[in-house]
Amino acid sequence: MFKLKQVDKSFRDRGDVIHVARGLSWCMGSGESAALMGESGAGKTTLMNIIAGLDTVDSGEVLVDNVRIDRLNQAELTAFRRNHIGLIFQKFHLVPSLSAWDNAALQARLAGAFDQDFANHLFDTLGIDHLAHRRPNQLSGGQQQRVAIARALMHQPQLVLADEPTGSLDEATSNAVIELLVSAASNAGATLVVVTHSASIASHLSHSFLLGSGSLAPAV
Amino acid sequence: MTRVTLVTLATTLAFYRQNPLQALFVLVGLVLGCGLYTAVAQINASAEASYAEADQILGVSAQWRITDRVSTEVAISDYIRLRRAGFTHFYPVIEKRLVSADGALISIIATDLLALPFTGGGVGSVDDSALENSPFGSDGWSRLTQPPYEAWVPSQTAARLAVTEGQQIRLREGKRLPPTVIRSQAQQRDQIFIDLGAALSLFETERVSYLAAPPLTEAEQQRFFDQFGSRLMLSKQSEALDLSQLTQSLHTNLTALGLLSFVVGTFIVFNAVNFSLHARQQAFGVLQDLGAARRAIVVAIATESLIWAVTGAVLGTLLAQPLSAALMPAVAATMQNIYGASVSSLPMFNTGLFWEALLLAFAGLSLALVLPLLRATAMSPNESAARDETLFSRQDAALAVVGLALLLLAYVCYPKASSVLQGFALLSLILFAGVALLPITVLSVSALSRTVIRRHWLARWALADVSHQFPHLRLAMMALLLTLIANIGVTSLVGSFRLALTDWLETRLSADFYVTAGVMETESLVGQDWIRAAHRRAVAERSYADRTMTVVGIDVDAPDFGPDSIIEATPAAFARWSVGGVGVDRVFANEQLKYLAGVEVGDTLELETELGLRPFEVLGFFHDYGNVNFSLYLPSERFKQLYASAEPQGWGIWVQDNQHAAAELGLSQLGLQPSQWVSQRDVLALSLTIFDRTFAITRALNALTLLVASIAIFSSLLAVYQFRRTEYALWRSLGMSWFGFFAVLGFPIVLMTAVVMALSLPLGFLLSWLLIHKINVISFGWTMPLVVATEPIVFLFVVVAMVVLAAFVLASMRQQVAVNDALKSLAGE
Repeated sequence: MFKLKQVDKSFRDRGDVIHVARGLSWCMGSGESAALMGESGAGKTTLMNIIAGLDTVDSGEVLVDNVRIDRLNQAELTAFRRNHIGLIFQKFHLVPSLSAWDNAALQARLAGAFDQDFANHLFDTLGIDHLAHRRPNQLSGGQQQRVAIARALMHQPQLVLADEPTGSLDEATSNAVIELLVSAASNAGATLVVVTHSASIASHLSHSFLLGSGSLAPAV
Repeated sequence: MTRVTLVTLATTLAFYRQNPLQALFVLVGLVLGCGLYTAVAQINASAEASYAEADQILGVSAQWRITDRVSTEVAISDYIRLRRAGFTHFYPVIEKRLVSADGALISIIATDLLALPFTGGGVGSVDDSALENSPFGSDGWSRLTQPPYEAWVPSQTAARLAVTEGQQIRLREGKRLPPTVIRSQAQQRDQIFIDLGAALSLFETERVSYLAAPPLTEAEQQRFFDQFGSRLMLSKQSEALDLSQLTQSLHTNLTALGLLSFVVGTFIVFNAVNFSLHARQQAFGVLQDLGAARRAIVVAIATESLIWAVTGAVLGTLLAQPLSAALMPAVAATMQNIYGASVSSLPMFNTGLFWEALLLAFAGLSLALVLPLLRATAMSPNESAARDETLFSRQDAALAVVGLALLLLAYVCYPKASSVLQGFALLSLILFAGVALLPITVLSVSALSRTVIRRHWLARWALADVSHQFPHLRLAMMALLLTLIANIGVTSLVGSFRLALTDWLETRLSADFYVTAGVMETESLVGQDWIRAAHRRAVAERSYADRTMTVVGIDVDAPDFGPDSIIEATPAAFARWSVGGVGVDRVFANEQLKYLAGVEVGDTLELETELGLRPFEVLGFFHDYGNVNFSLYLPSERFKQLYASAEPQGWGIWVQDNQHAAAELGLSQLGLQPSQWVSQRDVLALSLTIFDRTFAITRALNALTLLVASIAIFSSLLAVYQFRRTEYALWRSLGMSWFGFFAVLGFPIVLMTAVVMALSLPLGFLLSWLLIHKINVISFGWTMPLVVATEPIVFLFVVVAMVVLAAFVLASMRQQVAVNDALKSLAGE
């Protein structure tokens, strides 16, 4: 779970000040899932980066699993991310030199939380058990994203953040992948936030929020 | 140039505004490669130009010495008669050893500057340009040769005597030398150089120590004997060490290293250009989509290449000036020792050479830039991306096949190579075979290691990363491999050479003194208790296989030739040689006869003697470094029968232990002038100093090539990091610590460097072996054992490891900030 309290975040772009968050507060509990929506440039990715500890806030508090991550230094943030957060990107970002299995196991191994049985279960659930020895360049987009999902869940994090995870996939594959993601996260008891433009994707999640002008509102 | 091309050019060049570091690397590669090559070419040209002068200057480089048959000195009147008879290239020399008022021993050498061969050969025929180009320069000679004269004192001598500029050194008998000028000149060593006129006046004499002459033709020698043979004696400077051959190999070496630097520099350019192309793939595609014809893109790229090549070549040539000026003292020191000639430490500016180097650099660089650029435009971005994944392996396999083919070609060509050029072509085949085999070796070692180390995921990952870093580091590692092969090859060659030369010199120069021919009779030596042994050789010159053959008569018990001197012989050869043969004379031959004339042990040669044509059985061979002639050693008793009229050479005198000073005194008491003997011990020490300084320039160039290779690695690492920054950001986003991060990044570098080192060892030794047993044999007809010394190689590897580590650390220092920045945009991609 995570909690944002009165978060302010802005940046300058060619002289203009862009407000991503103005006194923004947001709270999500364990096992919940939410879609984060908004227009291009609204700051969805920046907000996700703040929750992941990849970016900093100007003011306010960011708590993940009851830890004030806005107060952590780089090394502490890295360790926190390693143990508590799973990340999924639009472009998969798999390590090309590693097999699907090693890619998926990477963060769990870094965190010292690799569990062979859970890994087998995840590969089985995501339908990629027969692809374990393939390299990323031998996988389709949908297969690569499933490996990325396995990687994000394998160390059993409390929070999974996905930035347009189906942005590079066709519609049929998108639906299959998001169903797998929501189901796997729910089974693992993780909080899931998905940044997306797609209402169809959002419909798979328990909540939807719209980000605009630095504030967050439930999407209709 | 059309508007479209101009716009295209502006678009392609805009990349360098965004990436100034890449522009810097293109420039650094061009300037360093071009600069090093030009510097070496300039040094070679300057040094070779100086050799011609140095050859004609005083001392041991003088091929002939003229002495009086009766007196210990030569009358000036005889010198004048010789000149009038047309021997205008003879010049007078006075050598004296004196004691200063403070009791210090000083040596003085004097000559008639205007009579030296390089000045034109005589008074009245000197023109200013001759002196201007001489080692004496245009300004020094007039003050040296006119009252009050000058005494040119080498700096080390001035320090020893505690004299300063302008002071007059006072001699024990009260006379004073001309005012001191601290300046080293031709063949000076520890001697004070003064003009002949000043010396004649100072010593109140009309006689000189001897006359010297440059090489003489047979006709000139005959004319001398006919006209002056009854009064004067012409003797060859056989005691002089003919080390001039070393310079030939030195310059070949320098040129090879210069070219190597150029190749290594071009690797940096390739890296930078490849990176810039990769980064601009999309821009090229967009330009084509927007209607820029492929031809316009090609023209723009060619223009960019032209701009880079000209800028790099011009700046490189400018860099060559201070670089050659910095390296030149080492070469100048070499020349001073080899030829006894002090030449300017400043390289000569040669316009022809400048243009030649510029043209070569331009052609090479244009090729290096244009080919990959053209290849890039011929590929769409998708093709290029696919190439990263697939073509590298095909390319590596193809390269390996090429490497094996080159090795096979080298093996086939080895017995057929018979010229220096072919020899160096053979070396190039080995070098490039090594380079071509590197990728497959690195990737094979990585793959093999992965099969062995399966258990630990981090090790597996680090090993897997080798194949991802290597494509970017391939050229830099190839550059490092070339540098290491050359370094090991040259280091082993120099080490072997030094050891062999030391052994040879210690035997050849084992006598303590060498007394000039014709100044001391055998009877004089009787009863001298300071003498341990005294022997002299006699030489007859003949011709064999279109080359001069010297037949040398040697005492069988002479300490400077014994069984240990023989490298290949029939059983009990030395004993059989000592007692002589019946019907056939037994000789030892120098190895030049083996390599250049195909003579084998047991062969019989027929040679003209004074008793007619005689057979000589070759019992074995001996090393004879630096000799350009064939040589046969015959026991002196038999030699006297076969060549009765041959003049004996000077005496080699071995002194009892701790009797060196007594020996000098004894020689003086026998009526010998100091100029009539030389201390072989000094010559030995000098020879080794010569050797070490000769190769100082090689070491400097080795170090510079290594520096260029390390810059290539540094620039490649930066390129790798830039290419893979997103991937590295991902590693960090997954929570990877910096320690783990740099461990995975660093391990492939360690593995690649280790493979490069391992590959460089056999290839370096092979190179050294070929240099010794092929190039040397082809060039000079002699060889030596290959000695592999581990210490310099271990030192080299430690230096390389430190250099690579420094490049890795320097490149990595930028990464923490860059990867942290990339983290923020990771999700947005």
